Amino acid sequence: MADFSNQREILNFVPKIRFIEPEQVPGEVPTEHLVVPASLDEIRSSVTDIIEQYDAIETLADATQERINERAKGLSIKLDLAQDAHVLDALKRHFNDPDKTEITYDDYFQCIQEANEAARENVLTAQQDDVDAAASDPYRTSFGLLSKQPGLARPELDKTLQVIKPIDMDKFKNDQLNALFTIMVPDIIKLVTTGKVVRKIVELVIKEAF
Amino acid sequence: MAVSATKIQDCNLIIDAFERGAHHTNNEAAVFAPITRSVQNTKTFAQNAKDIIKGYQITPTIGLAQQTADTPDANSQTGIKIQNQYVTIPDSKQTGTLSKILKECIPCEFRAISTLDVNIKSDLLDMLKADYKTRLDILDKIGDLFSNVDVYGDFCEMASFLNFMCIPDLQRILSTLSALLGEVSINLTSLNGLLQQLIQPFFTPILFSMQVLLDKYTQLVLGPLECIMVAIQEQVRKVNIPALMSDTEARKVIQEVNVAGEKSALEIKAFQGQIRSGLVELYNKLNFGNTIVRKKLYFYTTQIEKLLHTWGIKDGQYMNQANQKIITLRLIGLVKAMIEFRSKGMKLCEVGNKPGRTEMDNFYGHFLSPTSPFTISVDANGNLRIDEKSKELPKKNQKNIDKVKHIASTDRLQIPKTLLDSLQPVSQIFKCKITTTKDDVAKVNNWIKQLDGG
Repeated sequence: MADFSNQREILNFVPKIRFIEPEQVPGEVPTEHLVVPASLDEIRSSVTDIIEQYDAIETLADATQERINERAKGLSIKLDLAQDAHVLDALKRHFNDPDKTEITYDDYFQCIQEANEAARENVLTAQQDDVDAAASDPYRTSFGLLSKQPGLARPELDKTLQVIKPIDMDKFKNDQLNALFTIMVPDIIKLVTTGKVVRKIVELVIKEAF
Repeated sequence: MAVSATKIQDCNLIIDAFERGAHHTNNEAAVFAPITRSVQNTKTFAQNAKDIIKGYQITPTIGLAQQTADTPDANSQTGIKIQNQYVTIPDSKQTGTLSKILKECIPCEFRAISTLDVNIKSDLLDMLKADYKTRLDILDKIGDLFSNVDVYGDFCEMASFLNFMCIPDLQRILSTLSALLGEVSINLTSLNGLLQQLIQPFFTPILFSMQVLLDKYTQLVLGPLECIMVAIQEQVRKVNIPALMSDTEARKVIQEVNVAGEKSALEIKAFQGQIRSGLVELYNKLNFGNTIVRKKLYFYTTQIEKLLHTWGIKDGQYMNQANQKIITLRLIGLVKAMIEFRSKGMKLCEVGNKPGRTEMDNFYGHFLSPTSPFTISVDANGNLRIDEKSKELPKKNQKNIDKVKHIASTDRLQIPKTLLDSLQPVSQIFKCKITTTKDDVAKVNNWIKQLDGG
């Protein structure tokens, strides 16, 4: 019988990665006070330059990626059924293919794109709506934690700070039960069609009745 | 749309397994495939960096105020001149309430400018400029992997040299080169580890975002706050705090200290640590908060700098190792082809003779080209030709190449020519040097004889 304990560990795994910040000691304020820029035009021009530079990097990356795709196409990595059991589980689950035993270059590329998509969600930028909302209410007295519900201002509940999103356990359990039921359906049908279930029900009814 | 944790965990496992497998697979496709992560991370970072910088340019659109480096029209606007900049303030017709609030505030110069506009910090700008150069350099190194076929330059000579070596010796060479590949594979795995996989793509956006948010907070809140704190200090000096204190003992201490001169209540607080004055406490808390936020900002800025720097070094080293792998693979390809060729009882030429053009072309065409991404041949002029097999690439990549060429033509951005060239399929010609002489053959035969103890 398969040992599922290892798989559960993988599914429940949450990496313990935290920033270790230096102790905040009040005292002398760092000397990097806001300095009125020598030339605002200069700064804006630099910002425009950097945006253009990163535009260029993006295009170069796309062009380079096409070259890589061309050279790497067809590469497929075979997995070892025993050594890579956890990877095989992930592979089958991710691509919804119970017969998959190899990682193709296309699979790999797709996964990288998904991981990068998730990383994109970690970018926090002030939105135009936020800025306008703040400017539209200059008399507000509610800032930061003051506006939160009691007990719900914990940083771990802030979605923007969750690098890896927590697993929705209810949904996960339901999905697993559904999957289990789907696996069992052929056997259930077999039992019903062979009359075994009906016979069992009749036996139970007779037992209850008498 | 949010990507679920399970999907990301699965993806990380799949990515890691694929890359480990590729590092220990000995063909050219396996060298290029794992570079995808570096390229895609670079692309994502470029998008993130742009988003973050653009965030600085968001200002209220409801007419809070306008800032300009030019002198405004004095008839239509009012404003403040700060150094060489003129900050305009909307008049009552524009935004009555906001204008009133701005004018009612303690007149700190920094407040005026920071309320109106937030500008990116120069150290962040410098960091991004350096990052751009590093990324360009790494893309250039990747391009070199595609386009550099220098190792083929003397393959004709090598082939004619290997032609008369015995098969066991060729196998010895092959075995040693394979052992070297094993070492390179391990190096590649160690360089393409956690940093690229998780930390860089996942944490850089967070660190960056925190840095930017804290920077904006510093500019918008703490800059003006320091001016307010000076005002509080002034106020504390004016108020006779000891007279307001209920604690007799504390009052006594304060009076004793005050005898020596005009010590401020703030200094007394530092001396005694006992006084509970609202103004003094307000000052201290603001000072404390100000320090904490500024130190946090400094912390995040330093971390990004370190992370980007380490990332650049790691990716650079990775490309160097990938280059080693590809050169070794090409040498192995030649030796392997020669073993196969010789094992079939074939010879490029008789000992002492130079191989002819047709023999060489047949050798490359049948034994080396099939396992290479290039078509390797010897043309009618006796030149060795290296041509990329893919005919589809130019079509697929034309749009990107046109875009890059356009960028390079603007002179605003410095893109290395080698990088631009590397986007095109390889097509290179080398002089096929078939120069093995009878003396060379004799030397090698003599050397082999000595090795065999003959």
